[in-house]
Amino acid sequence: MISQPIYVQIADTIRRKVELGVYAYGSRLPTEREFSENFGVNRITVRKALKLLVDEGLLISSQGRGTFVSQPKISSGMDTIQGTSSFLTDMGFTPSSKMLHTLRRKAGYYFAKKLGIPEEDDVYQIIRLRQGDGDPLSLEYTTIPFSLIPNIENYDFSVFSLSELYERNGITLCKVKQVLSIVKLHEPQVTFLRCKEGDYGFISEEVVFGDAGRPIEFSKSYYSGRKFNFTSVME
Amino acid sequence: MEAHVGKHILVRSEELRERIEEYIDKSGLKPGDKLPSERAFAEALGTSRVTLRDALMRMQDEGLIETRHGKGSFIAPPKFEEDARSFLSCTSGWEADGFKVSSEVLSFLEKEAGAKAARMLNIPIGESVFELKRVRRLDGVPVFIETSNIPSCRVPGLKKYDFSSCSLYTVLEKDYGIVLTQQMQTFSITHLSEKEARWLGVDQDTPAFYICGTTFDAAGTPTEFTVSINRADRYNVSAWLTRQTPAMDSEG
Repeated sequence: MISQPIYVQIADTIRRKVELGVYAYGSRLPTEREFSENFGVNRITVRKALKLLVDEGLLISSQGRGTFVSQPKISSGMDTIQGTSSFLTDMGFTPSSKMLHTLRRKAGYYFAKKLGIPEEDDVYQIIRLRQGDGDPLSLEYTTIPFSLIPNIENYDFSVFSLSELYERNGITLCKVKQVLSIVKLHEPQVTFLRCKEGDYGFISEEVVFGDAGRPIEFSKSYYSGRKFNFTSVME
Repeated sequence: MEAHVGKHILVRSEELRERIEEYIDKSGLKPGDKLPSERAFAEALGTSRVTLRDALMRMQDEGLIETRHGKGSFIAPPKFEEDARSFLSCTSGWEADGFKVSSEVLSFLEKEAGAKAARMLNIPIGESVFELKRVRRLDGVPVFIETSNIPSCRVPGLKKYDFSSCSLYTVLEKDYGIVLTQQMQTFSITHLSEKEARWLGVDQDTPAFYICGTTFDAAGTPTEFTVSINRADRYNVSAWLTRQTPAMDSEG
């Protein structure tokens, strides 16, 4: 092996740790000072190593907030459940949600099938634009049984998250089945995601299950392919 | 601009599709079956032909139906769905689900590791790797173009195997004592090159998954770097996710 400059070796070590998940995607790295102490080098060397990784796109440096593990595009981990908001916060983005529409309606055949409820039961649909630092990330259609959360119609989902409501109402989430596919995007997705008609994007369909394997929520989200990729760890 | 997109459109673009899917399920239509003519179908669904055409176009672009010019619309074949979280070799994974896997070797050579492969395998750029490129078919349908890079020093003599008929992971395990236990993958979207479209037997404007993965052995050493290009009209990725275990201190 050819000997490389110290800062390159440090960058390699940090990169390996990211790849092995020691520093998880979306998490904040130790501070420059901590790295300097741990590696036994001065802060300028640490800074050069981090800059190498930022230039590579592996890390994102956010003024005043720290240095985060990222991909050139945003990665959404497929191996744990994390509400979109906490995931974005971990990455140093300010998450926000724009409520586009809510609607109470009969489940009908399609949602009856997805949620395992009678076709005649009511469901509640929440259509939101998820954003990070004000930039559109995904257009999300979420459907839940209407009776799941009392007074659901009173909540503003630009302010509250469904995760919070589940917690407050004693609803535990156990697991999620997620299916990712690639599609061509059309209106209205392209307007909200700020891309072009016919651009490629992801659809992520998720069924969230509660206790006793009961489906609680079905969501279908559209992501622009330019901005997002997904990662997973298989064992 | 967004203010002009009415709530009506947000809902309508999804709503008719629900009823189309209901119609398909309840009529017992199967992959390959033809949908009713546009006029008859619009009437049966109680909608206009224009609205129906829009819904069918979206369903086509989501791979649920296929429209053949002048012939009508047909139910598309189901997608092959791969569980992102179960770690098995490509061959044994799909065979366990009852699919017949066949491969065609496009190229198999020893070469100098490029920048990305070198980085993911943690070896110097230019170090020797074996590169195996294959088209993989499921039940005769070409679905993946897989390129595997393995450092030559780990697998001397790998060239003697014919990977059109044997499994790479089986060879690694049985003949080299290398057991691969963990894989990290990134899923992105790509366009197909002309060659790739030809190998997969699709139009060049078919979108595809671009899946980059690094596979580690039991000691945590990166052993294989893969790039897989999977046609998105016949392939999906799925995952069962569980609640995150209590987070470690994010500061360290």
